[in-house]
Amino acid sequence: MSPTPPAFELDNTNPPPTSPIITAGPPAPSPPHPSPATESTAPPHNPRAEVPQEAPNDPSDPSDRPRKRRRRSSSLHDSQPGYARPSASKQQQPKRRRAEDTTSPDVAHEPIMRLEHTHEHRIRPSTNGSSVNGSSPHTNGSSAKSTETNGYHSNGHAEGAVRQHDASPFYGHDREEVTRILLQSLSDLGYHGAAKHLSSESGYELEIPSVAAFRNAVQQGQWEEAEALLFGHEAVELDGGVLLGNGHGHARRRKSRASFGSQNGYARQGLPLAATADTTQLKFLLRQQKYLELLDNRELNAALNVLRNELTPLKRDIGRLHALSSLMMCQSASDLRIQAEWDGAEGDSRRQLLSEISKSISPSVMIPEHRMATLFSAVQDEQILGCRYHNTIAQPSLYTDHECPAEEFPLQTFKELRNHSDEVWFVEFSHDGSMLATAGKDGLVCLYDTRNYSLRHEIREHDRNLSGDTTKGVCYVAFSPDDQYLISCAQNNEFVVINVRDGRRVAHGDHFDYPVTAAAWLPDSQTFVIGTQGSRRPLGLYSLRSAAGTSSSSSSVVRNNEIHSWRDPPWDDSGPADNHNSFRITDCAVSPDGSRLVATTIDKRILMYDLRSRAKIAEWAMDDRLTSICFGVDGAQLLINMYEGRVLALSAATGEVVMQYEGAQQAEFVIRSRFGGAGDNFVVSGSEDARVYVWRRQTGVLVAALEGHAAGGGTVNAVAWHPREGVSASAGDDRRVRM
Amino acid sequence: MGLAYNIYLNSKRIYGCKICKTHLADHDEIISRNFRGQHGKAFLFNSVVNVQLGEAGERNMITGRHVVRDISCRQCKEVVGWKYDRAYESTEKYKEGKYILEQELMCQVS
Repeated sequence: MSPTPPAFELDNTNPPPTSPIITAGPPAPSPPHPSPATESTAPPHNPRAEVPQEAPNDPSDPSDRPRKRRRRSSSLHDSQPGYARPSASKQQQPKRRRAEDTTSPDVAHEPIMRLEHTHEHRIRPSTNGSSVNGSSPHTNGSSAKSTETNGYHSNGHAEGAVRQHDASPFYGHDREEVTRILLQSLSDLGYHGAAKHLSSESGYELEIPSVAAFRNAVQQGQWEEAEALLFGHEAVELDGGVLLGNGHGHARRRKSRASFGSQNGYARQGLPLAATADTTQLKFLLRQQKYLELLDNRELNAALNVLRNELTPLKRDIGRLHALSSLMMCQSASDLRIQAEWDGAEGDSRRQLLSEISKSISPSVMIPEHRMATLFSAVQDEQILGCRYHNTIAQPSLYTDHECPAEEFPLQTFKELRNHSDEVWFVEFSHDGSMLATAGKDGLVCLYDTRNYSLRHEIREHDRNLSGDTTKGVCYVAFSPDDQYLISCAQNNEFVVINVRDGRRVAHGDHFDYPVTAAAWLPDSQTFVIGTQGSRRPLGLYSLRSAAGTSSSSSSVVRNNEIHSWRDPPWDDSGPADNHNSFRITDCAVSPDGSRLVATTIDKRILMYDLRSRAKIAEWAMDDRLTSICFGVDGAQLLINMYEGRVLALSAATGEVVMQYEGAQQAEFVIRSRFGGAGDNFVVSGSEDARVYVWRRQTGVLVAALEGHAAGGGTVNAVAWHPREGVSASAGDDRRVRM
Repeated sequence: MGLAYNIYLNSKRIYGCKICKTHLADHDEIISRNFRGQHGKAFLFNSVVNVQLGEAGERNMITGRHVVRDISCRQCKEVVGWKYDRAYESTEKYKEGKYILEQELMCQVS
């Protein structure tokens, strides 16, 4: 090993490192040898005794060729052992030479520098096929090339001790992975000193230099280097497009490689990309960002160049290309930003670009962002899903596994209300949870106070207009969002709005020919939707305000104040009494934000309307008859009850079945179900076998089937969940309401 | 037993319960008009809706012995006709599973 040829030209065209990071080269005493392998033996000759393991200078040399690493930090090296290097000799030479050149003073410096660098690393198993420990460099074509990217030359790190990469696994997990994730989390948390310390102590680096270089390049807007780093030089040359610098010529590309040292030079092979990465797409993203930034700076010519020579040859996404070219017409930078929905070079866009690209880089090279947080969330979510009785929205602690106790869940009956003389058909809590309303076949609407469940009001508004005692029956009640009013819908073809405080009626509508089946309030507590079974006025929007604008709290009772009526097809009232093509409503609901109205019809369809424009948004046909529908609290899910005992959750946007809940029985009667629990975690429904069924919304697991209503008796018609406490109410045919 | 909505038919001519107007049957479902019930003319229908079935009993009719059960309007509980369960004579077999609604007890709803 005599130092030979100018290290710089040597070896496989590796760009000679300009300033070798002091690779702790084997000091003059000549590096042990170009011997392949046998690294592990600490080169005894290595003066720096500390670095025993690492030391095998030679073997490590090749890999590391002293590279100028700007980035001190990172580079993970593969552990020395096994680093066989056939071309070791050549590569060593420069090093060696250097080492030799450096006389003692240098040698003396080395350790210091080394200290600064601190990161000794073993050659990190780079993911492009390089295997751990050493053999990798060889497997890569330009052998040392890839290894070059990996960081420092691990020779003789003065640090010594550090390198011990303990190969023992950490409770079953790969030590390296754990350490790197910890490093990332520490940096994310802001504890940079601790991160540095950890990396020096463990010998692992968070990112190899080229990744760090890439990250830097993107953030500073040095697109040329970024692209070179990402794909490697050959790639850049081979694939389409000439990479233009930001206004610089291309000529000094080669040179720049050299001059930028580790930044470009080592990226011969580029960063290892994930298997699914689409290099053209990545290039497109990078170049697009560059183009937008140039436009932002009003360097139109350069931007045009970029567009022509870089973006177009990629032959991708022609539509987007056209859009980008049209952006050139923008008059000003702010206009451009608005049109492109892009927030400028200083804004977040670079960071977003980086995130986007980092998704395509192989994860072991560039750890996905916030990996530890992602892992934690995933575990917590899984625990929450598995918890049967999870009835809180509080975030469970990370300290222990989460499991909600069953005691807090409403499983026992603690109260029974027996005010009704006939079947109870509907039950609902007020929005603030202070009142409970029940409605039954006897035409009675009872209002209870939820504190002590005492009866507040008994409302018999429907006693008029009786045509027979079989047409009594209130089938629906609805509290207004501010809990001031209550609508009750009855089978005798009318509905009544009652003021809850004093029990008087404030409005009613009786111009229906058919029973009123459902009602839903809009968030403003002044307008509501009524659904009936009549085809003339199946779905109407009503207001509490009378036409004259007088307040409805006065003694005048607003009557039949219909604002809008949906019919299909729309027509005037002069047609025949019954339009058979129209639809009849069995249930309706308004989304919590008041934007959408959804209704189910007798002929198995679900209709959705936009409330502001009153136009029909969607219509879905279901398999069987539907009896109930309601929105989830976030407005994104719908819960429906269908015949043959099916309870389904649908997505409100597409109408597709998200989840099916099994167990309830339904064959003849109207059964209603509701979302309930904290965060709408549960779905609760009645059933014809006198039980109340509760499921976990997200997973569909049956949590409980509560008995209690007279078994032989009848169906549980409706259920409701208290908005705040863990109390639920069920209304059954045995004339009782159970809490 | 629970709340149940009535079924509504879509057609040009619908027969309904005289008392409560509940839809009972569609005019197109008539098989024969040549029947007589206790109250006069009656029609044989293929299908009816909104009815509740009663107890089965054997009756001797003009046409022979049959097993029939009464049907009543779901809402007002009034008897509106009957359903043939079984017919003993082979010539009467076509009536099995079909419904008779008496014209007196019905009205035209639209």
